[in-house]
Amino acid sequence: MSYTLEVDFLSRCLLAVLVTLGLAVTCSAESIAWYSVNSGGGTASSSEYTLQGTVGQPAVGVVTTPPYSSEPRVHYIGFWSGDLRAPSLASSIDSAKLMPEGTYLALSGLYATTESPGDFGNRLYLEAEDRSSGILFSHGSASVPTLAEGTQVSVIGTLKVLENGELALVGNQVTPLQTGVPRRPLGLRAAQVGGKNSGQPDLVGQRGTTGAVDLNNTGLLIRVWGRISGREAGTDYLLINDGSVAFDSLRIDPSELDFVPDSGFVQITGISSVEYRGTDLVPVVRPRRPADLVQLAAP
Amino acid sequence: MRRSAMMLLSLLVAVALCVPASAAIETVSSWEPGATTGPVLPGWNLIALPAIPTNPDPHAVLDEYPFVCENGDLKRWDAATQSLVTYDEWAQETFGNLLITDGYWLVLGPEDSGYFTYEGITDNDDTDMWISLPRAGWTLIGCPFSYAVDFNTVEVTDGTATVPIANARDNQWLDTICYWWENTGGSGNLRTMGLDDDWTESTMLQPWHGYWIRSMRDNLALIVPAAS
Repeated sequence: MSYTLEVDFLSRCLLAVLVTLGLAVTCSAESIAWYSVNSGGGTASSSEYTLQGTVGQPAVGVVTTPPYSSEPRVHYIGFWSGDLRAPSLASSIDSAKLMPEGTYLALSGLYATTESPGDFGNRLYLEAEDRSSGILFSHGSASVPTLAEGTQVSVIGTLKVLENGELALVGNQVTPLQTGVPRRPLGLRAAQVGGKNSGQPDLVGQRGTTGAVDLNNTGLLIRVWGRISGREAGTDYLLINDGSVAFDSLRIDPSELDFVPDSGFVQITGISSVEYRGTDLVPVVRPRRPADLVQLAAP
Repeated sequence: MRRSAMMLLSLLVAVALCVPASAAIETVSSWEPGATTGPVLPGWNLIALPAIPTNPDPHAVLDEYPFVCENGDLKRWDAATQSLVTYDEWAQETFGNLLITDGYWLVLGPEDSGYFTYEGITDNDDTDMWISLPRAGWTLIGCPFSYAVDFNTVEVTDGTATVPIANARDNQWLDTICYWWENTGGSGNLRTMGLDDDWTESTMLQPWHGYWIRSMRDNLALIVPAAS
């Protein structure tokens, strides 16, 4: 009897504490510094069995408010990990690209234009819902959730200019938000791939391709057409031209293709990207999978 | 029974003719000779290519009119420098090739028939096309498809956001009243094309037609949606 009373008394105390805590949380409308509810689960063992249990464990990751929100917020979900470095919140890919290299930032509401795993190994390409801009998310050796093309995600990473001249986010936090349909590529002329400087690349932004006059489209899912003019010496990249490239040809990275024709007219779907050739930054299209190359044959 | 089979065959043939060819190179022809609304008539024509030419050399695309290239009667607008470039046999690289999404001035003599044919691909017909407006000022664009497009459905991007073209107008990114040239065979009329509430003479981008559009800021692009 006394045991029951003791539990009842403890329950009432616990309830009072929770109510007080709840009121405190409710009253603080602006922020909750840290709040941890540690649910059940754990390990139980005997001489013959070990049981590892978990109760109510949600997905682990991070959610940020949608782009263009007037009050950006970031919310971590999952394991208690102590004090975390707070990322800067970017309202769009374009605004993220205008932050200084080394900025640790979060972007939300982006759409995957590549599959993971499957396309490009440790590289994931993301673009804005309205196809205004795109960006590479490089996760190195870290594993990221399985993502179908068109999945909406939030990511956290560090802004970095890669060796190929492409401004990217490097990190390992990818949170799928919802599945979606594959993205529609934008049709460009060969000479429009890449584009002018975005921002001031010596300080911030994506460096433009040499001689470009058009809006920068690096990172977007695009489609181009052209006649095969050969292979680039040294890299074996496919070279195509639709007549718009005056003194050169557009380079197609064949890494994800299983067959590359030697001649003819082709349609290429892929990511608008860049690479250095000497001091020149040149445009490169990166097809994601073999089906991204379509041979166009005369009837 | 035999009549039903014939009807079915006719239907299948009709469907086959209507379905756009995929992954194929086609011969694309301008409107029929003699059509009064055709874009290629004696005098000044403001043309565009509705398919990606497999050989974009002006001599190949306009091979029915070799003298056009020799006489300097083919002109393009360089939006980046805001200047008119005339085709010159001795400096062909300055003019470049004939490309999809651009408009061109083509001047034909009184004896020219108003008809041209070239080999191109229409596989872009199911891809939303990106048309660059690189610099504040005028750009001479062309309808990028082999079919007409409602100009109200076009979007505009500045790399930060993509907005419906009506919003771009309201943001003063560009003027949505575009100009095209109706050639009546020797003379012609300047016509307007724009959005529903621009009250222009047309609201459709027509294949084979070029249009003058004016932007008020650098670094824009139109996104013209495909029909499918």
